[in-house]
Amino acid sequence: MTSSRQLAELLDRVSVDRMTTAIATLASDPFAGRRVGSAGGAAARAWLVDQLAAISADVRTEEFPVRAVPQVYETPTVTWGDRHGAVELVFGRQVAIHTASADTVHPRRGALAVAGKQDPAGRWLVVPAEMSLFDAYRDTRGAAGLLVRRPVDAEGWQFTMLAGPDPGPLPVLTLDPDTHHGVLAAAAAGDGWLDGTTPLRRDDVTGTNIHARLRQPASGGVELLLTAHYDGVGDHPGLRLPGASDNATGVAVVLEAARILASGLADGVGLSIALLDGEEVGALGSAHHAAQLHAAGVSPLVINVDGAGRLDGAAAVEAGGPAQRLLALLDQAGRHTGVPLTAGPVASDNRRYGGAGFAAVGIGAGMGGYHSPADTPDQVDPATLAAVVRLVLATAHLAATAPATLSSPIGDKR
Amino acid sequence: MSQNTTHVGGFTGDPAAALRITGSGACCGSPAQDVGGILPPAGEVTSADPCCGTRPAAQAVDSCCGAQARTEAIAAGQGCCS
Repeated sequence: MTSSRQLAELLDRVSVDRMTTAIATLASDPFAGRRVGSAGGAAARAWLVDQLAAISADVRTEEFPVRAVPQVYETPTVTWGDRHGAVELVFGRQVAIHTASADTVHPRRGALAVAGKQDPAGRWLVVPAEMSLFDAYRDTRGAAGLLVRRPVDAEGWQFTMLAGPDPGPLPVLTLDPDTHHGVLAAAAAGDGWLDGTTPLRRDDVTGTNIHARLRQPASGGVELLLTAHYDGVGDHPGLRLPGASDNATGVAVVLEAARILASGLADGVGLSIALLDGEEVGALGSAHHAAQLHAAGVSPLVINVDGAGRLDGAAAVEAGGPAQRLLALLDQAGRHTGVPLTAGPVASDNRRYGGAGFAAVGIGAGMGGYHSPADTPDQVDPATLAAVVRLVLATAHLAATAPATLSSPIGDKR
Repeated sequence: MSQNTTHVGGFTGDPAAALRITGSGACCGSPAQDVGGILPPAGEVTSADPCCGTRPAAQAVDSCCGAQARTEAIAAGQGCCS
């Protein structure tokens, strides 16, 4: 059978329904947004281990410590007012807690002032949009807290971040642009007050990667490692953050590719899977894994998928390490499958592998509702899932069959 | 008979450009760019708004986590990103 025919058969085995079912499961209520160290994350992990075991993979888990994960432990209550009246702000839309915030459960009430321009003592300081939080901290003596502007997505949600600075000494709230505009105007006019809490604690937790071996490589043979992070930023009290596109889509693509490649690669080609935890807190799961690989002296070709929700023009590709051949294979796979690619940032686990010296690429094909309640399964485009898994399958097939000169074994020409 | 030159799949431009993504080696990641919709909404972090330290310091070392910026950030009780 020709290589081209073999690849066609692999691509024909793709099931979009299987992927959308996996995404719906991972984004469902019991998994609670899959924050590292959470019960929802553990539930997702158990489900994923079962999925991998069902395709006869040799599955194990690997734990690593994660320090100071931000957790909003109750809904913040924030009200502001001026001479015209008072407004209670909606958590997640109009107000959220900055990751650099101090933890305050008792309401702090104070007059509004403009950061850097007015006496800070006892006041909530409104940070102008052009001023960084760092600069706002220059004069905060006795301040009640800081109020910074944060954009919202198309559905009006602020996004949540877990990775970020250690907490500073003050409460810090993020306001949507409209609210920030009103609060800043009131502060500049010497009018207005704000009363708010920032219930944000930091927990030391355990992250857990999932590793699966599907095929052993021959001595000196090609070793492929497919990765995707399964953790999310996690739900807040009263606010679901399902993490469908980020990154249930990537996990679904890797599971589907694993299912097909387990029996569809040439003899002697190794295949393993890493479903990674702790990406949202700084790609700690991949950092842990990359160190293990380095110590073991193995050198896999790493393909990481982060976001396969909505292809907008072209999939972004970022590479690290000695990835020239992998990029050439990806390019050929893109041409064969009709998936447009562009060099662009994929700030994900691929950076850890590339930084550790492994040939690594990250593929990002978009997502709706970044880290917000809008990241739901219905926002995931099935055609994008199909495109990305076909791209991964073709790249893996080429890596296993193409000679170093990269003359096309599947008939594509420049 | 016409020749179809429309680009469909594969890289637009040199694939090796993927090895030169700005910020790949930085601990704070890349500045937000609207590529594939994979990063925070445009405006949260821009190339003119470093994620740590003062703007002049970050610009001087051409990195959001340069030594001077990091020192200032730590001195102010902050981590790398703000």
